[in-house]
Amino acid sequence: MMNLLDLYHKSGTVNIQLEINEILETNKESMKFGLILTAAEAQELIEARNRATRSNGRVELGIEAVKKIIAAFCSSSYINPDDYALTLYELVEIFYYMKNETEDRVGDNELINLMKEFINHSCRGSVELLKNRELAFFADNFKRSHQETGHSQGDESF
Amino acid sequence: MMKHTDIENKTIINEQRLDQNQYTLSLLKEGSRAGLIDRRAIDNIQAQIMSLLASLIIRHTKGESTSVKVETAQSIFMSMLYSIDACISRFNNPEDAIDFLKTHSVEDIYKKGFALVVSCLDETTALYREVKEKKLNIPVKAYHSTIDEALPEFFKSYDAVFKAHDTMASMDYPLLLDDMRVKGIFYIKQYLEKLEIENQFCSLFADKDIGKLLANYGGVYRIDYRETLINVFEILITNSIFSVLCSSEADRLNISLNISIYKYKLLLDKVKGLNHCQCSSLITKGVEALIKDLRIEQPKFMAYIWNTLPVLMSRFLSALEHDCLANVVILDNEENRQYDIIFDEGKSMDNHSFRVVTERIMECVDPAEKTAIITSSIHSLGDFIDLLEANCLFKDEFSALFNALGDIELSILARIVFMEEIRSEPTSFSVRNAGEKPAERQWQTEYIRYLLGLSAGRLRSIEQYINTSMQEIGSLALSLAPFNR
Repeated sequence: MMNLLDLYHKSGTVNIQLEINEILETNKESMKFGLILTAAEAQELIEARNRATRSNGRVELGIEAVKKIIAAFCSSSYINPDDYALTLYELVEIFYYMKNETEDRVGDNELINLMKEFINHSCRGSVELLKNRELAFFADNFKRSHQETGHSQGDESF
Repeated sequence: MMKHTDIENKTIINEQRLDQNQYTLSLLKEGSRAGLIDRRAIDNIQAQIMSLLASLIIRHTKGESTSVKVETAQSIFMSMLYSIDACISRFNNPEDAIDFLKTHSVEDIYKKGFALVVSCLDETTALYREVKEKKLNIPVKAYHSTIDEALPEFFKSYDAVFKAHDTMASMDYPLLLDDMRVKGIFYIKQYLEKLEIENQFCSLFADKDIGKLLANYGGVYRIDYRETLINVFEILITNSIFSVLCSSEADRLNISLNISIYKYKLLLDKVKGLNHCQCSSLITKGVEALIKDLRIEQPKFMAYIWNTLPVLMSRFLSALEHDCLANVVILDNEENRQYDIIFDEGKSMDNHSFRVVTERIMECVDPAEKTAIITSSIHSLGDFIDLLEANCLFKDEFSALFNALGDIELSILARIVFMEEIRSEPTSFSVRNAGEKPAERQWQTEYIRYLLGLSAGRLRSIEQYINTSMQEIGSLALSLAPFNR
């Protein structure tokens, strides 16, 4: 079978450059908070996105979700300029992991807002607490409540 | 230098290389090989396909997510290609289809194909209503569950946008000619079209005749036909073809599904000495006569019957060649009925109770006492057979138990032990002949030994029961299930 879907996993050079440019555009806003990504970090962020989608078995249509993550977190007082890029890589990985954990029932905006709320409050900027405590707890509750209501994966999908 | 034929081969689409379930993609690949479409055009089509897929994924997530699981994307992708294929595969000539792909946008092609899928869904829904309305009155469970449960479930869950390619139906009832290569709604449509024709054929016969034939069929194959996945049309058309062949012109005014021993002998005389080609020609004539006698005039109906002939013919010829036509033609057992046995399978006990009984038997040492426990505790054939196989009886204990059984009960056990032999000699079965074969299980060996030790008179009486019509003990078929496991 000709798997055209693979195209999404191996964007061509032209597409990658376009995506890098789009990410660098976000510097205009993040700069206000002293946060800047270099071109190399932007490229690494795209690679982190590709790794996350692949390891979580997902197909991503573009760079929108990454841009939304940047927009949501760059204003957080817990994000340091020194580990800005690293934090974004981790947040991107957590984001795609949580998309699966919540069985695609939580939209991108809602999930990013939730992550932002946790980071800015109960986690006080700790990505580790975000993933291993708050979101793990959230995912457990989410699955349990859906099991109790008798919904199975995919019920709402199609 | 390239020969003329090489150029021709290179520019002609090889239809063998086109995949029915990936039609457009395989056509692009083959078109590229044949030089009918260049790389640039293919890249352009591919980019459009990806763009359309992206918009469908966004539609699927209702714009709330830009990513989906790979399986979801694949399903949407297949569904999208299903609609594109619906449009592209309409062209009789693949070269025209390639031209269409080159001159129309993928989105346009998708929309056209999607409209065809939706229209097919509407037609299939209407066809389903007709089939349901004219449903046959036959006691075959899979037939009713397919029409009353599986098909409504399919229509309820079918999604022409995101899962158009999915057939998602548990239609157990088998057709004689089913094309499983077709997917999605097009499969369901062809299934229903064929089922409608098969129903139309079956409805040319009286319910009671169909019921009788099915019961005879169940008897011959030792199955509970109500629970088995059988194609009723196949059984009916087979017997009706042979019925025509062994009937006179006058008899054929009213074609009977039921073939008597007498008629069957006439049939055997008719085919005796015929070679393969002559037999084939005779059967073809039988089909011609059947179509004429049943006044089948609709071209689709007629075509279906002719299309079934190659399938049936190979079975018929093989049966004739191996002298086992009796396995294909279902004889009417009523013709030679001597005894009426109404067999009640009895109620099986639960696992715990059964274990308690076997433990009691194991603890007991006296064969007479063991027999007493069995006859007082076991009330179903299924349990009885399970007990015989539970290793709780030894040598003489078997004969003590068999001694406590009457001729009818012993004949029922014989139907299990000599299943194959009785089937090949349905009217003249002999225990002495059959008893020479080695048995598979210990109780069967002991049973055969016991039978062969009986007086000639007693054995004759048991054989008479064995040779009695199975029709009246139809529920025995059910009781065989545990034994066959």
